[in-house]
Order: sequence, then structure tokens, then C-alpha cells
Amino acid sequence: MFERKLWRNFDYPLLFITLAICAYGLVIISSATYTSSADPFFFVRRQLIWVGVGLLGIFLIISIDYSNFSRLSRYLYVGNIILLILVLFIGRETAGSQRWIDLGFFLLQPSEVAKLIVIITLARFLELREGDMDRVLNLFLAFVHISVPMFLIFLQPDLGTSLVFLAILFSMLFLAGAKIKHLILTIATGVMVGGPLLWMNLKEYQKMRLVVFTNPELDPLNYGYQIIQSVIAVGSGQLWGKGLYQGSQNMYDFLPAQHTDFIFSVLGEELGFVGAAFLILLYLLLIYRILKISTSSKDTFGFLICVGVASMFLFQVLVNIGMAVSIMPVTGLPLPFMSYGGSSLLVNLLAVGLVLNVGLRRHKIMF
Amino acid sequence: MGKEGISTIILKKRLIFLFFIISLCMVLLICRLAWIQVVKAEDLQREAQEQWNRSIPVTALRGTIYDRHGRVLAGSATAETVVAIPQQIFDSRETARALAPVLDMEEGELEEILTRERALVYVKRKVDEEVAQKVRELDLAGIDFAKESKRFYPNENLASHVLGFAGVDQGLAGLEVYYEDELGGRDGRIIYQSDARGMQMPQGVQQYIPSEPGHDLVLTLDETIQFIVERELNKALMEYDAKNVMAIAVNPQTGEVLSIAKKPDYDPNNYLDYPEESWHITPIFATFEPGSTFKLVTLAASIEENLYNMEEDFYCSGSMNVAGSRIRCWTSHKGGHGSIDFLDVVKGSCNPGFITMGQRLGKEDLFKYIYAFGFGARTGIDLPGEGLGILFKPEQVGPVELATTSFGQGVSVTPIQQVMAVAAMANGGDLIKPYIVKEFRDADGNLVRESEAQVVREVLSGETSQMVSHIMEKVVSEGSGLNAYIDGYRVAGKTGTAQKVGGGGYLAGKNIMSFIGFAPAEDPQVLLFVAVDEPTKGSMWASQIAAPVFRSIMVDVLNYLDVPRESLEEDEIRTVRVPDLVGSSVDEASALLQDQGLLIKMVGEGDIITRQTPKPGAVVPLQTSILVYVSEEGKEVDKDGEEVLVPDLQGKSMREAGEILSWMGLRLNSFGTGVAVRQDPEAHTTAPRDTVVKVEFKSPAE
Repeated sequence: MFERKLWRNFDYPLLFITLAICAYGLVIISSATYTSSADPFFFVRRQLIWVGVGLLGIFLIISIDYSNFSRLSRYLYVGNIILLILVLFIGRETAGSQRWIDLGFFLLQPSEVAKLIVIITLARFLELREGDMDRVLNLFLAFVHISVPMFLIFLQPDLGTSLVFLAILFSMLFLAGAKIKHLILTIATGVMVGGPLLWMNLKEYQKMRLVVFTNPELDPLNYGYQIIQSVIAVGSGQLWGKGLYQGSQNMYDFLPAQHTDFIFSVLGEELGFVGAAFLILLYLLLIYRILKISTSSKDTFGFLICVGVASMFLFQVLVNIGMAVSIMPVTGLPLPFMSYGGSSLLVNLLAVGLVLNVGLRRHKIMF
Repeated sequence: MGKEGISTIILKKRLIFLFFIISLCMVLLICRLAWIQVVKAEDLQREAQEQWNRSIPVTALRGTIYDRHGRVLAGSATAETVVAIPQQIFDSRETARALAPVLDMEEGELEEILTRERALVYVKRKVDEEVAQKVRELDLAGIDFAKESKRFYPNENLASHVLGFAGVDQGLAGLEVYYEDELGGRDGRIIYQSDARGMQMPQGVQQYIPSEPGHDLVLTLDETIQFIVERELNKALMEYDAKNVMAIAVNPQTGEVLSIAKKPDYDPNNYLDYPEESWHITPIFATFEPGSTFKLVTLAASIEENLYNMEEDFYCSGSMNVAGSRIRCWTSHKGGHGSIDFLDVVKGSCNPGFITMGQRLGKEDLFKYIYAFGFGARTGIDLPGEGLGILFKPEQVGPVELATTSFGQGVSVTPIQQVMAVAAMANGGDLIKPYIVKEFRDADGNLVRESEAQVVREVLSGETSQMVSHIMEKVVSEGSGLNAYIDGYRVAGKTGTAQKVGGGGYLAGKNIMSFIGFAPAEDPQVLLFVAVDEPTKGSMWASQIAAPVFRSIMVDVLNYLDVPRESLEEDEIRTVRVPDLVGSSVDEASALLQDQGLLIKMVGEGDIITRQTPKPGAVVPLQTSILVYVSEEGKEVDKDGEEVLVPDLQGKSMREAGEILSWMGLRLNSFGTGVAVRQDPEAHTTAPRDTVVKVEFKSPAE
């Protein structure tokens, strides 16, 4: 089903960078979970399996011309909504929020999948209105388009993921030709009207998380504790780190959620500034590759998909690392390819697959 | 990318802009990382280590406080404190049940303590050794011990105000708080490392950081002198039924404080049993109107400014007109001192004389000397809570204020300020800083720091100082200070009587009687200040109340210090002829006796003297007590009646008590020795003639 010449368009650097970050993640997960169970490599093995599954998914996804997703957009959108409604009823509850659907062999997290689907459906939506995005009505409709899945996720509740949708929306609108004036006005009203509205609807713990990051000492035992511990861990790593498996804050459980949300703190402690900055550069390179592919896409749909994926990665990296170094509130967003967790890893790999797909079927004239 | 409406170029620009924003975000993250991992790294590294280090405190042994001869005034003993590490306790209920009877605590309370979410909690602090042993025998998981020190004061009330006291963790009053840093030492710790759940890390090192004991203080205070002072103050407190009595003794050459005392006092071992006001170090904290003792400042200033000639004539009419106000002398009731010279002005403490001296000095010079002598500024003594006193502001001083200041009214000073000012007159003219800690020594007895005499400023020339001393000596040997005269010693001194100020005016009947003086006059070893605050019994004259207390202390202190007694020219006891006091009021009698060197001891109720012993005309040694019987309107003792009023004997000697009772036709049955402290039947009740009055005598030191 592949044309041989298509492979010449395959963006090996992107795949390589992605796998490099995954491998980096596996090493840190092994350190973070070394002491926490009887089998020291339990989490590493499971994550490794998901990398394999994800690679399979990438090849599956690039074997279909991405233009097909454009046509299937309506069904994807409806399916997505159904899944998100379903999780509210039959979802498994952990730590006060319903995020997972138990599929027997694996806990599916519909909100992760939703990000990818929304990128596809929004790209289609914007492609259809190409050249008309300077109209306020279209802008409004785009908002409606994402607010349904976003609101359902907010109900779970999962504030972090719902905010990812906004990041995706704004960058895609920006590159779909919306007027900058409109975007700025929207953001301004959003902050002034939506902000207080959102605040009133937040659960107490969510508010607390948002507040304490500015001054973690306010609440040193709960959310502030996580931030303080994270900063201490990262800082005590100094320039070169304490070495893999040598991080005392990690090993002695001072760090919270060290293999999921706070994986970056383990990295910072054990591999120091050098190791942490290296990861950030890898992400920058990843995003650069994605945006580079976007410029060579044969249509607006592909172009916008790349932009959506890049902004999704950027937002998650920014928020997660920002949280670990105490410049962002605690939101519970995983770090792409690094944090332990099947759904997130799979979806991120599929997103990369989608971008590779766009690159594979690039504009013939462009070289 | 065929676009209508919006050009590809704009989109390209936007994409580049987006990438620029992304890069900027990443750079920002890296900057933040660098801040944490490079700039703040050291601090955070330390914080991380502190997190795994949990420690059991080992309190440092508090330094000992010694008197100048090495006698312990405040010491420390180690005591065990029971601590718990809640996370290592498996069954807190069971542990609480086991501990409750041993520690004498409630089970519920213990369980609450043992389940606190802390690394380490105190269960009970400073328990007795046998209690600690019992707890040790229980061998409970998570229960451990920390060594702490427990303070004790072997002499109980002695020097309580100077020493102060220490609470559980730190000094709270007196030297204990003033020298907290020196005495406290540095606490040590037993450190073990634990993970976030509080479990001891298997490879966590146990480390012992020993505590550093505090430094010992060697005071300038002399325990024996302190004891003498306190004994005499106790006696005075009882005899005059005063609100407070206080004394300060210093070496006027060096500023070393030999004794500071105030009664009533407290026992620092049980300081909580006493009201908080009793903890105040009144002799350095309280301010009072000095009265006549302040006249010495006017005198010294006049001499230094060459404005004083002791042979110059002066006429005191009993009062003086200053800017329209009539200011009276204490002799006004008998028409003043009359024609005297300026030596008599000082000896007789004549107010118009001092006003004249003040006027000659003028406001600027007088105040210049007042400040130079240290009034209006803290002396800097090493005790907490020193007072400042109040002086007239220069712009407030008119002729009347100048006049009253000249003889010590309208100013307010602390006793220690008064003491240091007179010390400057005694020691050749230098104002020196008083101090109470002579040496700091470490736990091995090595000298760490030593205090030295510190001259604040030179106030008087040596000649002036000598002259002031000489005149003050005359006050004691021939003037109003005769009751402080000591055979064989050249004592210099001055009395002071001041009415207390309150509610915008002077309070009737509320006086402070003081006496300040030093000996030997030519080479002063001891300067002593005594004040009796609000005496309610006896004659309200400083010469009658403060001077004898001063004398009693001074005699014993000079003996104790082995200051050689000079044989004066006349090698005999000085005698006085007893005047006739019958018919006069107590006040008149006190005025009459002011320069005579006789003491009045009163019995009865009223103001008019109706009887006296010894009889008028008798020749008695100096400072003999004349017992007088006083009554309303001069009624005689009713010798023929069946019932007599039982006199108040408190504070009287056995001989005096016997004498008084015989006047009344009563008989004495005495117990113990010293001064009368209790009697039966009680005073002011009536009893039939020939009743035996049981009187208990006690030594005032007890």
C-alpha cells in the first residue's frame, strides 16, 4: 500500500528525536520507580510495551493517507463526544476525578485521545472556512467546536487537559488566518469574563493548586509541598546532577508522583542542569521538525494538523516543566514521552505519526 | 497552500513568529532551571539534606553564675527529657498506656502527643532521674531521651533580682536573660537520617553533634555583702512596714557592683509563685524624686565652678522667694536655719542655701553638670530593664524649676544613676560605668572575656572631688547624717527625703527616704545607697529611717572587707545629751534630733510625745535609740487603769520590747533572738495589767 517513493519523504529525524525522548523517559522512569515495587523494572517494562504499541500505531497511521481523516472528521468528532460522555458515567474514579475507561487490558483515557481528535476535526473545520477566518462568526463557531469536548473534560474534572484545548485552538486560529485583533480581544474577554467564571466553578483543591505556586510556603504540607519538594530536588541536582539512581529526594520518596507528573524533577535531581536543559533542547528540536514539516504540507489541513500537534506538545512541556520548577501551577499534565502512562504516550506517538503522515504526502513541487 | 484572502507570506511570518515564541518559552525554562540549579543550588542542596536529617536535641548545659569569690549563685544540673518519634511508634495506645503511670500523665493526652504528625515531640521535659530510669526500663519503640539542663538557685531569694531566672528553654529575667547568649551555649543534636515517611534510613548515619556548654559568669557581686545588705533590708522592711526597701553597693573606684537588693523579693526556683511586679529590678528600673541627695550635684558643680566658699555667710529665714513663689526650707516651722555659713548649708541641707547656689550656677551650668553626672542617660549596667529618669527640658526651666532642681525636686532619677553620680564625686571625679559581670569563663574554667573599669567621662577635678568628700564627711560626723556615723571610719554621706509624686501632685504620707554615702572618705572602698519606699511606721525622716539602715550595712561590710579602722583623735565613744522631747510632736522631735545623732523609736498611737526613755539630760552614746510613747493630744499612759492597750512591738529589739512593756505595766515572755516578729496578745487590743505578752524574736536574715 506504500508507494516506494513515499519513503523518500519520510522524516527520519522527527522519528529519531521522538524515540530519543522516549528512551530518555524510560531511563528516568526506571530510576523513579526503582524502589517502589518488588519488581524494579515493572514500570519500565510496561512503558516499553507502550512505546512498541505506539510505534505500531505510527506505522498504522502513516499507511492511511491523512486526507481520509479529513473526510471522517464528522464521525471522529461525534465518536469523541460519545467517549467523553461515557467516561463521565462508567469511568473509573481515581483521586476524585473520572478519567479512565477500563478496557480490561488497559485503562483508556478518553481525554488524551480527545486532544488528537480535536486537532484533526478543528483542522478540517478551519480548512473549510479558509480565507473566511477573519469573520467573527467563524471565530465563534470554532470556539463552539472545541468547547463541547473541552467542557466534558472539565467536568471529569481535568482542568489541565481542558486548557490544552485552548492552546491548540489559539495557535491553529492564528495560523488559519484569524485577525490578530480578534484573537487578542477574545483572550482579553476570556481572561476578564471566563477567568472569574472558571474560578467560581473550580474545586477547592484546584484553586489551591493555582494559588500556592506563587507562594508555596503558604501550604507546605499539601500542594505547596509538592512544589517545594520538586524545587528542592531539582535544585539539589546542581549542574551535573547526583547521578542516575542517586537522587536522594527521589529515592527517599520526598518527591510526589515522581514517575508521572513530576518525572522532570527526578531528571533534574539526578542529571542536573545539563541533563534537564538537554531534554528541553530535544523538545525544541521536536517542535522545530514538526513545524518544518508543516511548511511543506500539500494542503491547509495537513499544515494545521502539524501546528496543532506542535502547540499541544509545547503547552504540555511548558506547563509540566514550569510546574516542576515552580513557575506554573500544579495541573497534573504529563510530560510528553517522558511521564509514565499508556494513553498519553500512545496518543503522543500517534500525533507524531500524523505529522509524519503529513510529511510523507507532502506537496510534490516543494523542494 | 493556495490561500485566498490571506497571503502565504503573512502565514509564513506568523509561523516564524510562533516558533520564535516557542523558542522564547524554552529559553525561559532553561533560565529558570539555571536559577534553581546553579544560582540557588547550594541552598537547595542544604535544604534537601536537612530534610532527611531528623534530630534529637541535646540542650547545652547552662553556664554557672558565681559571685566574685567563686561561690555558686545559679547552677545547672542535667535532666532527662522524654521524647517520642511518632512514626516509629507501632501502637500509640499501648505506648500511652505503658507511659501514663510512670510519667504521671493522662493516657488520652499522651496518645495525642504520640500521634502528632511531627518528626519529634517532647513527651515530658526535665523529668527526675528515677522517672527516666523507669521509662528506660519499659524499652518502648519510638521513645527516646534528650538531655536538658535544669536551673537551680542554691541561695533561694538571695540576689534574686540580679540573677533573675531561666525558664524551660531560656533566661527570662535578670542576668539570666541579659546574658542569654553567653550562658545558653549551643545546643547539640543526635542526628539520624530518615526518608519522607520518617522511617530511619537503613544506611542513614547516626551522628552526634555535642552541645557546647554555656560560659560561666563570675560576678562582681559579693555573696557575703549581698547577704548583709539583704539581712538589713529585711529588718528595715519589717521595722518601718515599708512598701519597698532597696540598696545598691558599688566599688566607686571601678564601678564593680557589690550588691543590688530589693525587698520584698522572690525565690527564682519558684518564680511563678510570685507576682510579676516582684521580678522588677527596682534599683535600676524605678525612678524616684531624689530629694536632698541630689543637692550633692549642685554642691559639686558649684565647687568645680569656683562658686562655693564654705565660710561665706548665709541667712536662712525658713523660706525663699523665687519669681513670686515662696519656696520653703524644712526648718521653716522654727524660723529657718538663721545665720549660718555655706558649710552649714550643706550639713543642714538648707533649701534656700542650695537655691542660692543653683542661681549662682545658672540654668546652663547646673544642667551641664546634671547631664555630665549621667542623669538623663542610662548608666549601661549589664542588667535588663534599666530606667532613664526624667529631667526638665532646657526650655521648661524657669527660675522656679531651677530652684527646685537645685535641691532635688522636680527631677526623677534611677537609684543606679544617683549611685554612679556620687561615685564620681567619691573617686576623684570620673563618671564610670557600673558592671556586674567581671569575667566570662568557658566550661574548662579558661578566661574568655574580662570586664574592665570604664570611664565614661571626667566630671570633676581631683580637688573638687576631695572637697565634696570632705563636706559629705562633715555631714555625717556633724550634720544630718550623724545617724550613719561609724566610730573609727571616715564615712561621707547625705540624707534624702522626697515625697512621692502621683496624680499631678505630691502624695501626702508617701515618702522615699534615702541615704547615700561611702567609706572611707579619703579612699572609698564601698559606696552604698539605701532607700526606704513608703515607710508607714516611725518618724518620716531620712535621718531616722535610712541613715541607720545605711550604718548597719556599712559597719558590717567594712568589717568584712577588713578596711582598717582609724583611731580618731579622741579615742573615746562620742556621747550626746538627751534633749527633752515630751510635749513635742514626732516631726518636731525628729527635726530637733536631726543633728544630734539620736534615734527615735515610737510606741503608741498619736503624734504627741508623752514619755521618753532615757530621760532628758542623760548623756548617752551616739545613735542611741530614744523610746518615746506617743498618744493623741498628749495623754499620758494610763497607769492606774485596769486595762491597757497592747503596743505594737514588731521590729523592736528584745531590750526595747522589755522597756516598752514595762511602761505599760505589762510583762515580757520572749522566744528566740533578733527582732520582734510576732506577739500575743496582738497589738492594738486591750489586756489587763500585768498580762504576760509572748513575743517571738527572729534574726532578720531568715
